[in-house]
Amino acid sequence: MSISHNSKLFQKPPVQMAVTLLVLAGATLLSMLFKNTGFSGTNIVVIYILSVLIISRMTVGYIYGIIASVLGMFCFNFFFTEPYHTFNVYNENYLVTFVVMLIASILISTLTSKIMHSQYAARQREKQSNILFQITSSLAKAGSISDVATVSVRSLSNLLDCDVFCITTDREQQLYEEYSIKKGNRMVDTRKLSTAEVESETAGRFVLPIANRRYQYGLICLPGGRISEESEEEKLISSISVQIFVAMERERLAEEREKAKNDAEREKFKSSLLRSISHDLRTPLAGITGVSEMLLYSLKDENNIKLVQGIYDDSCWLTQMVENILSLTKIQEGKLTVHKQLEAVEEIVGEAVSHASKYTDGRSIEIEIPDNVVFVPMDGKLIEQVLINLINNAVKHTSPSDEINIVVKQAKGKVWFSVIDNGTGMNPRDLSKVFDLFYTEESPRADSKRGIGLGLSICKAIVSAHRGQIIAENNKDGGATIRFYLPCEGGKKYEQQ
Amino acid sequence: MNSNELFLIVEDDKQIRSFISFSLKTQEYRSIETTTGKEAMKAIVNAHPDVVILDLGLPDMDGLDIIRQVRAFSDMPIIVVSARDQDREKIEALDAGADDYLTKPFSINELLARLRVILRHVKREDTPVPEIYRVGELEVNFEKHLVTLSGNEIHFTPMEFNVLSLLIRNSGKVLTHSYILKEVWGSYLDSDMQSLRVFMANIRRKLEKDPAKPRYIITEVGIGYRFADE
Repeated sequence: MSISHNSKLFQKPPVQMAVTLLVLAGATLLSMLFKNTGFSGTNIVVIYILSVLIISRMTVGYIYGIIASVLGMFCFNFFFTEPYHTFNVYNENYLVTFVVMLIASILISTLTSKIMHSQYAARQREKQSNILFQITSSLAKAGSISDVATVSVRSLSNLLDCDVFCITTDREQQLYEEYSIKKGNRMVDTRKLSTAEVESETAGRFVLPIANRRYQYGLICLPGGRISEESEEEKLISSISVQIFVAMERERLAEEREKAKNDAEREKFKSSLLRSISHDLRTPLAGITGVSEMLLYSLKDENNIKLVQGIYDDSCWLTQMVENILSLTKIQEGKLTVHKQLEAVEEIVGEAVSHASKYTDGRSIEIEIPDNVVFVPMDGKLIEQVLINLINNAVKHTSPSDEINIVVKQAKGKVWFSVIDNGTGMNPRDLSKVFDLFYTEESPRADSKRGIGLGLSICKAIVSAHRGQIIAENNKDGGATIRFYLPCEGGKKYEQQ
Repeated sequence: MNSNELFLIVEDDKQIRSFISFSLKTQEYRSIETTTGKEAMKAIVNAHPDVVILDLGLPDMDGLDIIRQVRAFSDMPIIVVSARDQDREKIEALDAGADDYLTKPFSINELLARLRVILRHVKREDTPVPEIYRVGELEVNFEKHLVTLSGNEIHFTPMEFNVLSLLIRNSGKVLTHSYILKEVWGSYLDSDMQSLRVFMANIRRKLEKDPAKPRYIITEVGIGYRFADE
């Protein structure tokens, strides 16, 4: 009986009442015809029960069926039991007939209504899931957030037969974009909105957020009063909005993944460019260094020697720089392998100091190490490099009359190496950043001693590869300290052998 | 004055080759230059150089093979030149019989210092090992197994004395960990490396005023030890 539910005319109470009365009247006329042709009274009862059944099918809800049951009983009493045309009864048997008839009618009408209702609900659900399916499959094909918005407004406008618009926002909730569609139109208009416009656009409308607890991607706006709260339609639309949210979330994640991939590729390209340039610089630099050194030996003129000395010093500095870049890119690409072995701390410190002392210009280096031999698992070459870099850094921040102290202390399963100077110290703002790649302090002295902050980044990378930590701090009485520790555990133990 | 010493330079990089030959010329040493392993072998057999300066990365042969082949018939001094990231090759070359190594890039002074040590050894081999060895404050009497520092006698265990005398007999040369272990302990296991370090730490404490600023026993990190006799 889809007519009774689909057509709004049939759902109005007066119409339904009229239907009820008409059917009953028809049943009464038919019964009179039967009576005149001499059929028995039981047939008449059956006709009334049938009429109740028909009424229940044609109307919505229980009420008309029950009214029809009661009216039918009275009609039967009034027209077909003696005395005719009164509500009195002579034969008491009819009382039983009345009661049975009433109960049977009411049961039939309620059962029929119930079946009708559940059929209606099932059909409604089927329709909803069809709509959801259609929207989900078109959303699945959408390739970007704006695609998703376009598809959504088009489907919703189709479904509800009204104007729909969707406002999307970026993650910072600063840029708004509107996708609107007019009723019965296929074209979706797009335009940018300001925050104020968003408020005026949404005022007085039915607004559905596309959001979960953490993110909001936008809003769906429908004409106000079009959809009542708590209705089936509202439920359907909110489940559509969940689908839209899922689609937008999917697109956002895909975009982020793409971006991360691009970033990683760019980073990789940068470091491989840096590495290949550095690698190609190595050979000509060795040539320049070599030739200028040879010139230093063969030149006699004092001024020329001074000039060549400049070339030699600079090319030495460049060589060191190129080597630093190469080892840093190696570390970054994870190609640096740490060959840990128990090493005597005094040997490593001693070697580092003797290497570094070539460039200290007379600064005195004091070493303080424990009296007993301390063995720490480490890659000796790399830790030696760390110490050399730290001493070079201390040299950069001191004048030749200053002093550099190297202190090694053992405590709680860690061995601390400190390189302490009494020079100018570091800007407190710089302390946390000195280990960052390409970081140089912004002091007026910065260009007097060159350096693009590679040495300390390398230190940090090497110490981290040993599962240690490196810290920079200023001393209370001037100068700076950079210290790092290496864990004593993790290597082969001497005692175990 | 030094013109009787003949050096063979085996190096494929033109710049480094001319750099080395220039350094040698400043000291009036004679030299022959070759760029490949095959030429080098020919020159070694025909010209009998006094010292070979050998690059490990040659185009046609592995430098290690040249060392092994030369060692089969001669103990002429060989100095190995290697790139910075060739530590393993360096140790292998030393164990195969190379006398010393230089890491690129090196300065003229570094090269000449190594050459002086090598040449001193060549000369010293002709004269017998002196009974008493003196350097700085240190005096070692090989006959009596006696070590004195600034006139004070220092107690050395026999093992420690063996290590010390091995270093002194090869003073100026780098001795790899495995070489010292083989010579003193007669065997070589990875685990012995640690005992060697402990021995060295003990010897250093007996000889050096400041163990972190050694005067006599120099550590070559990752490679071995060297006795500084200058």
